[in-house]
Amino acid sequence: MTPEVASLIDEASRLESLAMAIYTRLASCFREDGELHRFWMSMARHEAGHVGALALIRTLLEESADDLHFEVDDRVTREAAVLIQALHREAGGVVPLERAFAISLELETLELEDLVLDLTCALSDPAVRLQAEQMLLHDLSDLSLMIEKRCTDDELLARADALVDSRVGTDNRRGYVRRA
Amino acid sequence: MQACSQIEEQVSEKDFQTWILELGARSFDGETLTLEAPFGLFRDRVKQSFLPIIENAVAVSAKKRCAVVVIVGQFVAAAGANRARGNHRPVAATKTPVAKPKPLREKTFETFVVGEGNRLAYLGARQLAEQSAGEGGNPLFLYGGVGLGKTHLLLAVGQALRASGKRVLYYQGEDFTRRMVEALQGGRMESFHREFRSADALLIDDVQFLAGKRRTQQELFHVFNLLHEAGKPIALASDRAPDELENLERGLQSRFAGGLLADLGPLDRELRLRILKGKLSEAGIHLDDHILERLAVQLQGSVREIEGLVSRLRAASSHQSMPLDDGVVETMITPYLTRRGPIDLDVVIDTVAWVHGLTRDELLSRDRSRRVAWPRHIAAYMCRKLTAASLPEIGHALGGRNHTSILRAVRSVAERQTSDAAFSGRLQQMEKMLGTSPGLRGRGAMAGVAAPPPGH
Repeated sequence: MTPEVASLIDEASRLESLAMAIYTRLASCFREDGELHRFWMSMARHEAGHVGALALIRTLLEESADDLHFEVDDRVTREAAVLIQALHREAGGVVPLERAFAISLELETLELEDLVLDLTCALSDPAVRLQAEQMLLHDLSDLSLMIEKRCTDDELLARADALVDSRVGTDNRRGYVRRA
Repeated sequence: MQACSQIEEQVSEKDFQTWILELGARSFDGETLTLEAPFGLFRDRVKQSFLPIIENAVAVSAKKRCAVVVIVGQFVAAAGANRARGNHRPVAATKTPVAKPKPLREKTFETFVVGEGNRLAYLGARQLAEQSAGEGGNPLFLYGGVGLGKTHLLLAVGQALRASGKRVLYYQGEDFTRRMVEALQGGRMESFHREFRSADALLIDDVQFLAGKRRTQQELFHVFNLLHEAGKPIALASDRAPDELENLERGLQSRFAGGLLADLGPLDRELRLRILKGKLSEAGIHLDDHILERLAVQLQGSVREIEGLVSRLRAASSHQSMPLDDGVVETMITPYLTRRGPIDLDVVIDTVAWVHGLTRDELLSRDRSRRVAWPRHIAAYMCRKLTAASLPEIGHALGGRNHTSILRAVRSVAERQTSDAAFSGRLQQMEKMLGTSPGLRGRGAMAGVAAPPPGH
């Protein structure tokens, strides 16, 4: 694995940790509401799972017998870093529920997972590859359901539904990382 | 309890809420305290950032060094919610986080932006803080929607009284209940009453959360009478008026309504603009006037929404790789220009006036010159098309005009729209500005309609 790929995974991992912290913060903002608290915690848990998946992939790539080389487009991490850090600061303040949902959509629209999923193509064992992919995929239908249930903003709901649709299957990946 | 308080003093309020209150205590055998975190990364973060603080706090509380182990547990995901319902799990050092008066955050009268919708509330709060309210203004009951400044005024009252050496108790409704339940369960009701007897003023936010809690209401009734009879200032805030609070004891309802009832109305455009300017100035952010005007017209939410936008802009401007140029500003403000629900008549009127270079007062005036009358016709048409308001309602909103005048205005605009493609295009752009077509907000849409020649 090249240093470039290693640093890409490290950066993605850092950003997933920040996303986890944002969701944890939202959970604390809505502590008074059991359902919302559980929901934001489950979102945080998903992001934490992504960090674990990244660590797994990194280890597998390091141990791979092949000397793997990738062409990396790190644009996605650069853009994601700007947004996630801004959202992290915002989540430190008082966040109304609709804005919390919007933050969640902004986070989930980032294509960090896509980037890492591209890396999984290097995993030779199909079972391991499938496991890594499953750890990275996030079923966002809960987010959509919660928006439908708890807020009246149709446009927010439409954005959530569009995101769920776009995440069905993994064939829509953007190809940020390619085997060289 | 002691350990928890110590931790709270050593970490920020945000960190305490986010990372410490989510922990649950699994066991304490006198030597080792085992805490549970909801998942692995959470545990790692707590260990990395807070473990020494927790260890020290436990050592002080237990009067000896104890090991603190953080593991991933099964129950803590729901623990926060349970705590909120008063079903507490012990946290850190096997103690429940004790409800205590909230610290008074830095909100003052000087930073409160006064407008038509909140003037009475502001004046009432100031009088109470200066203790010149007299019987009629005490208690002060503030009510209104989320983010309109109720808490700000309560805190400002608290700050002012505290500055004059008064002992002020500030509780949120839920915390008052928790405090009372804890005292009840721990057999410490005498101490609970003593705390209030020794207070010089009482502030309770989110009173609506007391609805349906009979015992809490009884205690509050007692505390209220105690302080009120002693002439001590009391201020309360709620999302609705006392008589609309369901499941509230009538005695308490009448006590709440016995002083000054002050409604905080929605922010009008003028107030939104002033608040926005103030917050941006505090954050050291400069936005062009045309963007400020546009935000003031289209931001329909609360002060919190404005604060959210400003913190977003501040975050962006503090990031080296993202200078606050027009493009960044556009990206940041777009989510805030999203329409939510039906469009308000005032927003339509403000927007049409602004687009035509008129003030709202000019548009609503009796001026019959074409410069003003034609935009007024357009406003009537837009109101009819984009809102659910009836013709008489539109007439009323447009300066008290008869519904037949509105109907004529609507027809004349509709007629011209069918025969004048350029005019039709401008109307469409105005609709886009008002957020009725997805994906069409933004400066581009604005540029096409801004400041057309008068009379169009």
